[in-house]
Order: sequence, then structure tokens, then C-alpha cells
Amino acid sequence: MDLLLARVIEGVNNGAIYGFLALALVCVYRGTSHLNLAQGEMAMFCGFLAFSLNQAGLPVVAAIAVTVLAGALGGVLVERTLIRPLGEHAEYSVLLIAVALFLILNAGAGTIWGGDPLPFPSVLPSDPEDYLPVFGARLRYQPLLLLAALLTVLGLLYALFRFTKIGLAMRTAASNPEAARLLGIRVSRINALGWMLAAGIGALVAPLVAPSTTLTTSMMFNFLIYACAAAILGGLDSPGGAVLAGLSIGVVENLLAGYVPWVGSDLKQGVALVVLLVVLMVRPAGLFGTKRVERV
Amino acid sequence: MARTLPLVISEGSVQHRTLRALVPPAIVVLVIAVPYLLRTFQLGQVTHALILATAVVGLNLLSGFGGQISLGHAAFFGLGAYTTAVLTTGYGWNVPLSFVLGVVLCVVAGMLIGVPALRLRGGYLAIVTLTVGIIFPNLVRRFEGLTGGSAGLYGVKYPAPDIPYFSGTAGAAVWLYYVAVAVLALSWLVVWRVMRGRIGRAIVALRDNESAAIVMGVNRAFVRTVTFGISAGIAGLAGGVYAVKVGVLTPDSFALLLTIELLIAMVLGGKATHFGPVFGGFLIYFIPHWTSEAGQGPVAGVLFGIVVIIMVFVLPEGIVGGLARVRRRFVVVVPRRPPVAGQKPVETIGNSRSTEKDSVHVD
Repeated sequence: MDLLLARVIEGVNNGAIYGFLALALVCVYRGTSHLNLAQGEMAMFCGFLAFSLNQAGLPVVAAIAVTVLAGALGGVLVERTLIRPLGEHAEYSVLLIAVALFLILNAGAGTIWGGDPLPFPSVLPSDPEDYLPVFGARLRYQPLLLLAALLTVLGLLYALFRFTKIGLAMRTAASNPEAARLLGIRVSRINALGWMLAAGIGALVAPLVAPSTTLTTSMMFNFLIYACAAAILGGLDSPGGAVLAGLSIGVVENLLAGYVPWVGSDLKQGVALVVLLVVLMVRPAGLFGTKRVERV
Repeated sequence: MARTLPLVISEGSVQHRTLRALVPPAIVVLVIAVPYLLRTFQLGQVTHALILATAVVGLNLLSGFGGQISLGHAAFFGLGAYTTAVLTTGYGWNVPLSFVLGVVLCVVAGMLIGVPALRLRGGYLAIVTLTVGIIFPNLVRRFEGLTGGSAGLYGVKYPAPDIPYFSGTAGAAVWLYYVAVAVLALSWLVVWRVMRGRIGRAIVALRDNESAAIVMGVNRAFVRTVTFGISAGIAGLAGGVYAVKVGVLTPDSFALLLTIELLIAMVLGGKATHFGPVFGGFLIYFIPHWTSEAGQGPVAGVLFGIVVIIMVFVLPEGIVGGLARVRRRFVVVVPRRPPVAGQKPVETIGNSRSTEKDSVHVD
């Protein structure tokens, strides 16, 4: 029982990371139908930025706040300079730009901060004895903070989409860019906003995850793969779906690895992805995604 | 004399056919000349590029002509490579036979993955294929007894036949070069034939407007699965040659990075073109070499990324598109008008009208 609980908790901890990044992916995808493969590296780079700010004397929380702003700005910059000039039907070009960004940020971080893992200070106390005991399992503070941040961001996004004028414009642009443009919505600005949100979210994830993973250039790579899976499973245009799917993937994967000896740690990633395949066979647009209706 | 260029010739004319007929002999001459022009290690590099080009030819059928992004082609490449490696080192098969089995396995695997891919597109399909690409190295690690696991599989060789031309170290390199050339030529011809036929038109129709194509009678399930199968089979064949070329296989050689390289190669070479993948194979092999000579360590990665971005902006249609633009400065080929439907070709009265139409638009 204790072990089960511990495994579920660990699954949720990982799942929160997947869900967080998936949320960022969804923010970009809703607008432009581009899967931003550089999302993880953008987050990782921001993590290093926060590290440097912290080293320069800013307290951790302030460093993270500044990083989130810088990240959001970077996101807009990327959209304006690299994505938008390519036009609307340039899927492969955008894919290549994302891959190139991936390489530049990854190698760039390696050049600037070196290849060795760096320790990152946690926001909340995380010594071995800092935990909330729950039925014999240990809830640690930092993952709880991550989960809380995730739910807060999700709530804010929901409020943005649901209750504000700009959110309405974003939903319109996502569901029908042509009509949105005819209605006077600046669709390209909406897309830039999507990139801004995504990059900002990424910039928030990395510093919160870094204390447990340490800062390395490859810290986000596996998380991004799971995040892609989560975004797909939830349906690429559903923020709530992405978060829920992220959490479920984390838990399912951890339980499978723990209880099915054949799976072990080698195949735990694979099995999680096979589950995803099966779900997509039944529901091609994910669990909460919108089906596209097509006219000929 | 002022306007000699561009030279305007019409499709199907004698000049056009002569120009086209010159291409194959030129390629053959180039292929035969290369081993004499390059040193052994350079020939090895060219061989490697040719192998990558073959894989890109396969990917291009699915993702270029077919418009379905695959993030899992490294898995097929790896499956072909491991099939050859395991069969030749562990079970004493001869190499060509192992290539054949590798291709068969990849075709079957490709068609199996083609099934869930039927209903998916865009990002969803990308992730399903990504799944395959991610799982493959894990499987290789898991079935250590067969594949050697993370430690790798050593000693894969394709000994050259006993001909003086292929003797010694230099000769062995020439032998592998010709194997790679043959495999690339075969794959290229397969894709070329497929695209010129009924299936090829169906593939393009499905890419451009799926619903309309189905309404017109295209059998989506058949065409998509076959495309996936052929594409995967070609990637597997390339993988087999890769195995005998490098001799050592590790699961990391077939990770996501390889798929991404193949995709970069496809786009930079010119997607949905026949010669694009060949250029792409060379680009993706040699650009990282040049960037790592220009910058040490991680700086090379930054340079590589910057080169990719620049190329996307400068040559949005890839190398082939760029070359076509240059060629149009010198030679313009005017397409032949198709016969107008429902109108008889020779009419005494309507004749003047139709000639008028013919002369309206040149260029």
C-alpha cells in the first residue's frame, strides 16, 4: 500500500512536468498547428538563464520571475523573426526551424554554461527531512509547488480563453483563422501571443524542475517526448486535456514499470507510448481534441 | 544576340529530348569517375552520404510526395541494419540475402504502422511515428542477447568479391561505394516508377486533398499502407548497407537524431522531388563535418543550426528548387499543351482559333 502510494506520487510528480510542457505545446499548436519540437530546449535555456540571474545575486523567486518574462519575450521574438516570415503553409520549413532552434539552444547552452550539470537552488526547502507524511508516503514540497503552479497556470489560461476578449479572439483564430481574419482579428498577433505564452510557461517549468534533475543541456529531452505524447493524448488543442493526459501518463508509466517486471526501466517509455497508440486508434483526435470537419 | 538566354525550348521537342537523354550518361560517368578522383577516406565519406541519401529517398516517398511527416524512420533504418548485422555475424547468412530479409521485415513493419496512421495526420501522425522511433532503441537495449544491447554489435562486414579492382583496403572502399551506389539507384528507380504510375498520382492526390481524392475513387487504406511499406523498406535497405559500411551498431546510432537528420536532408535537398534526397544525403553528411571543422565542441552545433536556418530562408524549395531557378536563366522548357477534352484534334473551321490559343502564352 505504501509502495503503491509512493509510486502514484512519483508518477504524479513526473506527470506534472509532462503536463506542464504539454500545455506549452498546446499553446503553440492551437494557433498554427505547429508542433514546436524546440519547446523543451527553450525551457532548458531559460533554466540556465535563471541560474545565472540567481548567481548574480537575485533571490530564486525573483530570478524565476525575470526568466519567465525573458522567456516570453524570446518566444515572441522567435515567432516574429523565424516562424512568421515563412508564411502559412510551410509545415516542413517550420519543422526545420524548430529543429535548428533545438540545436542552437542546446549547443548554445553547452557553449555558454559548459557541459557539466549545475545545481539549482529549490524554491521551497527540500532537505531529506522536509516532507509531508501522507499514509506513510512522502509528499515533498518542490513537486507540490510544481503541481500547484501547473494548476494555477491552467486556471489562468482557462480564464484567459473563457472570459477575456483576447481569449475569445484566440479561440476564434484557432477554430477558423480565415473567418477570424475577416472579423478583424489580427491572427498573426494571436499566434505570436501563443508563442509568448508557450515560451513563458517553458521558462517557468525549467527552474522548478531543475533542483531535482540538476541543470543539464539534456534535462528536457525525455520530458519533451512525454509532453508530446500527453499533448496528443489530450488532443492537441485542449489545455485541460494536455494536463490531465500528462498526469495520467506519468502515473500509468510508473505503475507499469513498478508492477510488470517484464517492462522494467528499459521499456517503461515504450509501453507508455504504446498505450498512446492504442488510444489514438480509437480516438484519432485524442481524448479531448476537436475533430475537424472537412468540406470538399 | 541580345536575348540568346534563356533558351526557350518546348517539351517533347528534339532539343528537350536530347537534353534529357544526356542526364543518365552524365550520372553514370560521374559515378564511375568518383573512385578515381577521391582518396580512400573521402570515398568512404561519399559512401556514407550515399547511404543517407538512400534513406532520404525512402522518407521522401512518404513525407515529401505523400506529405505525411514521419519522425520514426530511424527505426526502419535501424531494423534493416540490425537484421543484416544479426544474421551475418550470428547466423552466417550471406549479406545480400540478409538485405532482402531486412527489407521484407521493414516493409511489414512499415505497413503495420501504416494502419494506425491511416486516420491520423499532421502532429498526430508525427507523434505516432515518433513513438516508433523512440521505442526502437529501447527494444534494442532490452533484447541484449540478440542485439548486443548498449555495448553494440561488432564485426559486420561485406567482403568484396575476388576481383583485382576491389582488392586491398582501397579496393574494399570502392566495393562498398558501388554497393551503396547500386542500392541508391535501385531505391531511386523504385520511387521514380511508383510516382509515375497510378499509385503515385493517388499519393499526391491524397496529400493535396484527402477527401476529394477518396471521393474520386482513391483507395486510401491501400495507397497509404503501400506507401508506408515501400518507404520503410527503402530505409531498411539503406540501414543494411549502413551496417556493413560502419561495421559497429549501437542503439544510439538509430535514435531520434538520425530521423531528424533525414528530415533535414529531405527538406534542404528539395522535398517531393526526385533528385532532392540525393543532394540532401550529401548535405546532411558534409555540413556537420564542415561546421565541426569551423567550430570546436558545442559551437559546431550552433553553427549547424544557423546554417539550417539560413538555408530554409534562402532556399525554401531546397537545393533542387534553387538549381531549377538557376537553370531557368539558361533554359526554359515550355510545357506541351494537353489536347482539349471533347474537341477533335483537327477541325477545318475551328483550326484558326485553336492555333491562336496555342500561341498566346509562352513562358
